[in-house]
Amino acid sequence: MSIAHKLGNLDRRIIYVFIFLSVIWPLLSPIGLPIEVLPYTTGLYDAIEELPAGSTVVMSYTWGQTELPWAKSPTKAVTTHLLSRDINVIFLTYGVTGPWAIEYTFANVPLISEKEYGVDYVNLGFIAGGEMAYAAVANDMWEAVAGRDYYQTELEDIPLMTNIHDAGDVDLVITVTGGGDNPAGHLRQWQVPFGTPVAIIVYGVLFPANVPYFPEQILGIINGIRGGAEYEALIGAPSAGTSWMDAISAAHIVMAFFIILGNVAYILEKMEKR
Amino acid sequence: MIEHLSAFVLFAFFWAIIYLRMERANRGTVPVMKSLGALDAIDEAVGRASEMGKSVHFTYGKSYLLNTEGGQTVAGSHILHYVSRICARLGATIIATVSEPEGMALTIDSVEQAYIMENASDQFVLENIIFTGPGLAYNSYVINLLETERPAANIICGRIASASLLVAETGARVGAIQIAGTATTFQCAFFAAVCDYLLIGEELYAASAYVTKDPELLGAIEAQDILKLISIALVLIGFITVNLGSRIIISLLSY
Amino acid sequence: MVTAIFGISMILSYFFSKSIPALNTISNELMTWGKIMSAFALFLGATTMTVSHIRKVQGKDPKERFLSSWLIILIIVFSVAGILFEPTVGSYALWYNVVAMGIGISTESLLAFYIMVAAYRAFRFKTVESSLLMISCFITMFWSAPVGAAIWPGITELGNWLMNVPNKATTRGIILGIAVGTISLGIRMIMGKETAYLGGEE
Repeated sequence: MSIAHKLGNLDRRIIYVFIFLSVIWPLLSPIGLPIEVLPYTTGLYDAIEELPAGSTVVMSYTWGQTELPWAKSPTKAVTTHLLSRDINVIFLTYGVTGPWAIEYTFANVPLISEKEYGVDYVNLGFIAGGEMAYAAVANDMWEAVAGRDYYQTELEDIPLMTNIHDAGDVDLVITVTGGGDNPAGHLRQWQVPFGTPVAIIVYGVLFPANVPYFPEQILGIINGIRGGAEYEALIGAPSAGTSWMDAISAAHIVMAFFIILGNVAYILEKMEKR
Repeated sequence: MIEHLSAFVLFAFFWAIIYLRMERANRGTVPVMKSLGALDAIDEAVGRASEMGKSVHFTYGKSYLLNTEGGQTVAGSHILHYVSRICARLGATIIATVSEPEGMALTIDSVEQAYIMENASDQFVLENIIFTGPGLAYNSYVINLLETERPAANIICGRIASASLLVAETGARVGAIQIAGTATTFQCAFFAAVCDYLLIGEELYAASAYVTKDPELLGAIEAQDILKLISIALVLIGFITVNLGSRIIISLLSY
Repeated sequence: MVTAIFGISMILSYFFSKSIPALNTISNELMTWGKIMSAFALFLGATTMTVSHIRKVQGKDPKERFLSSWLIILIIVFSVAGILFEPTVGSYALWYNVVAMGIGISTESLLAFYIMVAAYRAFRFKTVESSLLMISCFITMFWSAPVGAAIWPGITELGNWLMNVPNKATTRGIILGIAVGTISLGIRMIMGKETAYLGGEE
């Protein structure tokens, strides 16, 4: 068996070891490469900066524990930005693990402790039904959650919800999703009928599929960990996203190395056959 | 009186085209569809499985029926029916994995009907239609099934999410012929890298018409092609008018 | 018939809700019914899962019997504990986070290893298409990681162009096709021509 053949058919466990080391090493010993902020991220940042204090933003979650690695940094950064500008935030979720994600956000955004529940932010909990749920919430938020928040408090007793009944009363909806038709669903059910501006925080894989909607329909797209790191840079609060970008850089270099190695082996094998 | 008037006009027009083409096909003028490489490969894949004495694995990914992605599951079920008929004819075993409970009845019916139509109802094995559970349970089960069963063919047609690469890469590793089809655009890239044959986006819906040879379905596919041509024409006219300084098309479509 | 009535009601409410307010009421009610059915679908999923594993417990394979028994015990314990105790705080949350989060993130992280092996095996200069796929993969990889801009600052412009021109164009085309296909499927379902979802005849 020639060297070229061996190089082109490496045991996958060798590749696994390399990627493992490439991710672990920068986490233990960060490099701190500068991160350039792309227009997709500044779109959302500028939209929030233009909102006056007292505006209402809906953060709709469709993520849970398995999406935590990429969702943690952008949701924390965006929530911090919203609360720091005294913008009211309504949290709700369309995924079964969403209530956990909302509670996780409350526990991990320090600024939440300075805000008052029911006045500055509220948790409306889980609404089943996929796109039907987006439409139901957009048409009549009170009806969609049966008149109570996640903790079973009547919405009449929640000052934040007094003037918020449908999507037309909301100044911006930010949807955080790891898959599915969620962004386009919000465009169909929130933006087209009510004109509510939409921004999204998505898993990296979903990013190219949603670029066509930017910037006319979707104001900003936060691209997973990279977007989270960019947003942290924008608000001046580097955190998990920033530290993980070095690991991503290292992993990508390793991936490029193996792709090049595979091609070199392929070319050498072809030359040997001739 | 009518809100979103332009959307209403377009929708009514779409409905009329689809209805007329379906009726035309019903009356005998059945449109001819070009062959899709991925579907022609199904015969080859099942034949290979039969010769090797191995099974054929079919999965939708997420077998939703209750949301907007249910259409992919329905299209996938037509392809499953077709695959099952070939398996019944050639004596190959088909194993179907289903992640959502709402897809189970559809899957059982698709496979069972296929065996009945091939006069092989005694070969139908209900235990080969496996409900795995959603999410991680599905991912783990299918990876394990592919590693232990080592099917000769792995067919993934439906709405699939993060499991796409897990399933496809495992299938490639065990040496299965892989045929994938999904309208979930962001997963097509993974399938393109790993699978042998691929149906992208609308080809999945067209494929379901191709395999059933149902005149009405074929008429609907022809109608879709006409509607796409109209959409392309609108885009081109809009492009030209905007560059000439007029926003008339944009205004008309936004009315 | 039911599909047709419900489908047409929802469509008409989109176009005529201001001139015929009753349509709005009907569509809101239908959406409420839909939400309730979706919630029951979750319950159905859990029930089907439990029944499926109870059958395996009664089967012959000892490995399946052991694993299925363990799963059923976990389902019962977590269900009872979740009903009796607050599911988002305390020891229930700790167990759930440690077990579910750990397993979930580990399984999802397998993707990274699988992508690496898939890229190594598949991205070769075999055909024009695979070469283009590889080149766009390289550009996207280095565009999305800070190391790319550190090696060559021009990668940002190139990556932005790749996202905004070829990617946007092709994705728009695919979205258009899928949208037309979905409309066609919906119309066929309302007209009763598509019955596969009901377990209809082929």
